[in-house]
Amino acid sequence: MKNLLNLLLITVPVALNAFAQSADHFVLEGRGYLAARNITNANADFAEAVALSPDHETANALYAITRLLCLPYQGPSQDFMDRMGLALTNRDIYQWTARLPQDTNGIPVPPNGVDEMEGTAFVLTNILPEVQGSLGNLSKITDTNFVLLLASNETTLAEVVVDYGDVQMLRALLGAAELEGYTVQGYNLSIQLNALYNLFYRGRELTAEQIVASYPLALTLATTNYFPAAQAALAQAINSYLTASDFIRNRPTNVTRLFNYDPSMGTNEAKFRQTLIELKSSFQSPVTLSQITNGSTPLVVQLGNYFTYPKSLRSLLPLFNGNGIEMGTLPDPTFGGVVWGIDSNQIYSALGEKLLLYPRIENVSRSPDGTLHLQVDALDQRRFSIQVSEDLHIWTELTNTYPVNGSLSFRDAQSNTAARRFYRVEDLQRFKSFAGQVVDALTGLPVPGVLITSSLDGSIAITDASGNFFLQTRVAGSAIGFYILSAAATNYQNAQIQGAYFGGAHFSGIVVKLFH
Amino acid sequence: MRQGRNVNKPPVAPKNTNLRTISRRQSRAYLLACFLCVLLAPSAAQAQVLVIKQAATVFSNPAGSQIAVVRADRALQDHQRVGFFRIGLLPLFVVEHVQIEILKPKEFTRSMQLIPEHFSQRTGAKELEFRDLLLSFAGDERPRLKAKSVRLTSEGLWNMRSGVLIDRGEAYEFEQATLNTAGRYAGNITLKSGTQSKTVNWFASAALPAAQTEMSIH
Repeated sequence: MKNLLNLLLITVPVALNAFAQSADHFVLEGRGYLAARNITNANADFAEAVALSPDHETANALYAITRLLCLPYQGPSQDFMDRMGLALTNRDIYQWTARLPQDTNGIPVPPNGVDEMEGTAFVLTNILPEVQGSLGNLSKITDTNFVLLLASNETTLAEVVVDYGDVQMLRALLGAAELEGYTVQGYNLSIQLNALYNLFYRGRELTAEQIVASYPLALTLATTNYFPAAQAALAQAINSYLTASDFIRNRPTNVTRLFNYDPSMGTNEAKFRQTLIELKSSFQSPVTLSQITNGSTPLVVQLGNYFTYPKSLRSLLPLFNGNGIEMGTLPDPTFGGVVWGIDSNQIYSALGEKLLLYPRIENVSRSPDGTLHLQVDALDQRRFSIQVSEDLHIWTELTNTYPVNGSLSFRDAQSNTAARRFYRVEDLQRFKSFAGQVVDALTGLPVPGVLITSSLDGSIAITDASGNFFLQTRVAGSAIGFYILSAAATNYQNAQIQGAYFGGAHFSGIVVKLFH
Repeated sequence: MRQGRNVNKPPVAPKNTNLRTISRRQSRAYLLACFLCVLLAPSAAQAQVLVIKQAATVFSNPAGSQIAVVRADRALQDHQRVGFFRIGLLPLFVVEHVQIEILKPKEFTRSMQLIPEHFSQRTGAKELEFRDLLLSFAGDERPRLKAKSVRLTSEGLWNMRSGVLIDRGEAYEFEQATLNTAGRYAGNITLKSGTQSKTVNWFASAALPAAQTEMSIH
């Protein structure tokens, strides 16, 4: 009996001491800190746990999460936030209220003299290592039965169970962050943040054309060194996502985890998954995307070209004119041999939703009879006015029409007699226009030859044989306003319709009924 | 629209529900007991159903006049969706098949502010969502607003998906819409469908009868 007591007296302290030095002990202690919202101490404990037991799955999971959450407390992060003008107080991640200085519209204003490259360097030296560290920790979790219950006081949001599928999804997200981190290293982004702020939020003070001219190296290739790592990061992210998706979709339906399958999104998720598989295949050779098409045109991608033969982004830009772009100047609609199946016209159309588009007179030729023939790069579906002047003061509209296949073609019958002629092309998209039909109120039959007059600027239109009209004004679109359209026709009473508009420039589907 | 629903029925409580008096601003709420279940609900199950079938809440102004009635079929605990997945860390309180009936059009703004406030206070939920919402005015032949889902924010925004808005007799289908119920822009609703968007001051026109059409709006 005495021997047994002696044995206990020896072994219990040894066992306690061993536990005190064990990974489990540090995990337990770290979780206590987590519950007490001391993320720095928690992270230090989880780091100790991983150091003692590198394959400890729970320790690795907690360390992976907390090392990212600790980033804002580290010296370089604090310095960077100071540099960005972020408020010095309230930077606790649990009660974060610090904000960047804002203008009167609530838009964050970057301080003067801060270059975007500082952000890129910060990502390289501070963010990327931690992201990679987290990825390394998460890769240690290989047991598909892994489960980690996080209490609501640990998450501060809600109790949640993290399992193997969640870990794989986190790896996918971190892989995407790693891809982003490497990608920005590849390009020269040396632009003053303040200049970008002025461009996007104070467009009248600085234009895209001025920015491109002021920063001649912006968006050129900085180095190709990081592209292979970016490709590897994307491949890893795709693999992790596919594993995660497979695991999550096959979970029992009565459990809740961090990421949960939503059957209502099942079809879209399946398309996304298939697209990821195809994008990964396109690292080696061109692949036709099965889930994404451009209308009836298939899209072919080869992401391998992006990573293997990176191009300067600047070389892919069209020509800027103020805050607009000039039609016909997009250098490569395949964006460096990465995607095929997108028409230049469609790219201009998409750009035109945010930017002004300037038609460009591409070709001028003289016919045998001496008249001039003009060919203009322009956008389909938009109406353009071709105007002529002999003194650059008085302009007369020759015609207004829609381009066909991105081109307007026009012959000036008067050009062989005039001493000199100047031409210009005006995009009418920004002006208000009205389209509709005039019908007999009793019979419903179309009424041709009706004079339609706009109250906005007195512009007129005449209905065609089908009673249809298109009335183009020269009044710029505005957010809100009222209009009156007057209709006059022989044998009918004059009619008026009135309406209000809330944004938009083109109104269609207007029906005017005329009474005898 | 669900079968068998009459949005114009008078604001009387359905059978088998218990009315009880609460504060002067939000009187007679009898969803309380049901919504308290939220606090006790285990977090293990997805979309935990808390209330089944037909409950109603009557809202009153400070003078005690009834200004709105909200009926709902069921409430459940779900999670916010991010991308393709619902996130277990982000709980969401959902009320399904919600019918809001505005009894006093002149107090439309007040009603629209009280309703989310009521649900937040009663459930303690930070995030609320209405699914299959119908909003009508007493006497309307058809609802003024239908939306597949409405996320209500603490700033008084109603972020809606897939629905139809009736304003001055015109019907506008939308894929997304945001209604301001508080602050400087209270009543403004921005409707988006495809690349088109438009903004209407809905509260200003709401007192008009649904069928009245004075002008077309584009």
